[in-house]
Amino acid sequence: MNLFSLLDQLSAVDASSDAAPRRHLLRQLGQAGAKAAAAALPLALALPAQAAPTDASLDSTLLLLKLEELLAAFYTQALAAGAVLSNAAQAAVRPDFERILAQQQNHARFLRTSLTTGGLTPPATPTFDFSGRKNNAGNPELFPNVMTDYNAFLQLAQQLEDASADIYLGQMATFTGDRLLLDVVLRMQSVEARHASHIRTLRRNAQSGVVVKNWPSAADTPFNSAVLVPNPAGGSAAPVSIYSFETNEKQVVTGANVVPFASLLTGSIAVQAGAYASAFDEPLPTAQATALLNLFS
Amino acid sequence: MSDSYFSQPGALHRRTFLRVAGASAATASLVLAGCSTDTPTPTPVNPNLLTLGSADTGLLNYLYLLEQLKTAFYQKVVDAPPADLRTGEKAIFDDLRDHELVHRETLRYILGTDAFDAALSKPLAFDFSSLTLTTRAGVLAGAQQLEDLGVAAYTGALRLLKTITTVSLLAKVVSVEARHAALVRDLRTPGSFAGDDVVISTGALQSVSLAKTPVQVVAEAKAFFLPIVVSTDSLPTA
Repeated sequence: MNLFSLLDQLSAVDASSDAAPRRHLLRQLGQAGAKAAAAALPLALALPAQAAPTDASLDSTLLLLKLEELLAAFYTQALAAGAVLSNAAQAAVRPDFERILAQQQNHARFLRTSLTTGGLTPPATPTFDFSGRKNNAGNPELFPNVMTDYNAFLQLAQQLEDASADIYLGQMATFTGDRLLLDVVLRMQSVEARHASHIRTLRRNAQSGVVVKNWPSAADTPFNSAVLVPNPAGGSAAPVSIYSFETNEKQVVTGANVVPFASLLTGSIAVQAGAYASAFDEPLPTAQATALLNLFS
Repeated sequence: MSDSYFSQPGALHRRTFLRVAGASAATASLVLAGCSTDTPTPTPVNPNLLTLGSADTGLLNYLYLLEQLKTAFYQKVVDAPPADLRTGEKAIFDDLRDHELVHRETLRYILGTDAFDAALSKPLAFDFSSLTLTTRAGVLAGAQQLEDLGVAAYTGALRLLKTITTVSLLAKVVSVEARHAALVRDLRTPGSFAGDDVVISTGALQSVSLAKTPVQVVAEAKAFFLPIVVSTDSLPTA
């Protein structure tokens, strides 16, 4: 297939190019089908190691699907909750969340379709529990009042949307073998970033005295209930905030070539402290992304 | 090194010059061939023509130019903020200026001597006369235009970039640009953070970000570059 001409189709008629994404789904079909077939082979007939299909983008698709389904469930529950979005006080922002929900559902649908077109049966949607109790009342409540208090809801919404933008960034690398799919994933990512920015604006407007910029910043007021993920150091190291990854000031051009901000941004073009880090969003690694999703299912 | 991508007298990149001059000569020949009775009028080389290079270098120069544009815009705003800005908004514009500056310098660093202005003695000036920079409404309208255009430009350019490490780095930039766009849109019109004019609302790509080609972006931004004319002819399209 001629990838360049497909890309061209996408760029030429952006709003209605149904054909191009379907072609990528067909490619996914090849990979997904090969993986399923390999899994079904008896051990005695196992393929040589180098013939094993690359399934990294498949795993990423499954991860992103679970993420989008989590977000869709989150807003579905909140829109139905009388104390959060289904009341007069939040009437003005209800359409914002209806829009966000629809966009998450469409992202989930795209990812789900890419799996089914690929011959795979997508996993059943989990039953998400945003209290952090994992559907068991005996477990401790990690995120109290999320569905009964608007500010508690917004705090978790912000963390989930920030994490969503970062989880997408963390999965980008697995899609580089299929530039068309990478293109769509990149463009879903920037919609997630818009959502995150909006929730941050809403938080700033809803609570006076709360410092919250539209991007992760060291200046942000800490959360009442922070989402914690495994420490990248591993072992028994204490869990870390999802924002611990956002303090990175080292931007790699290639290999050991790092952008030397401190020597570039001096004199009349010096920037405020923290700007090197906050000018970039940072990937949330797969292990941390998976742990985050498992907090709620 | 005395040459550059910029075609002002004495500062014209040799390869660029040859490309432009060659194209003009070819055009002139076509005109000659087709109009045997008229006196041919060769297309003059526009001294204000800015070409950006080809392949990844061209795309990075294109993104670098747009980051320069946004930085210059926010610098003007923070140097002379409108009197009717609301509480906290000046600080927002300070942050936006800083972010764009970091992005601009990142691209300049990646480009090195390939930067279109590497040999220019002073940076390109931009023409903001199409905007009203003296009022909150005017500044927010300009910011929205530039930020939405920036996100669409990045998403349209990243799929054309061949160097994957650069794609990875710039994806982290687009994410913050999308945050900017949602911020200024909400300041201007609450709830407009991901409207149908910037997120595709129908078809298989429903709810993904709108992407624009370099040709589309430069056409929308051309007033800011005047009297410079930015040519996207050498940029990849696939």
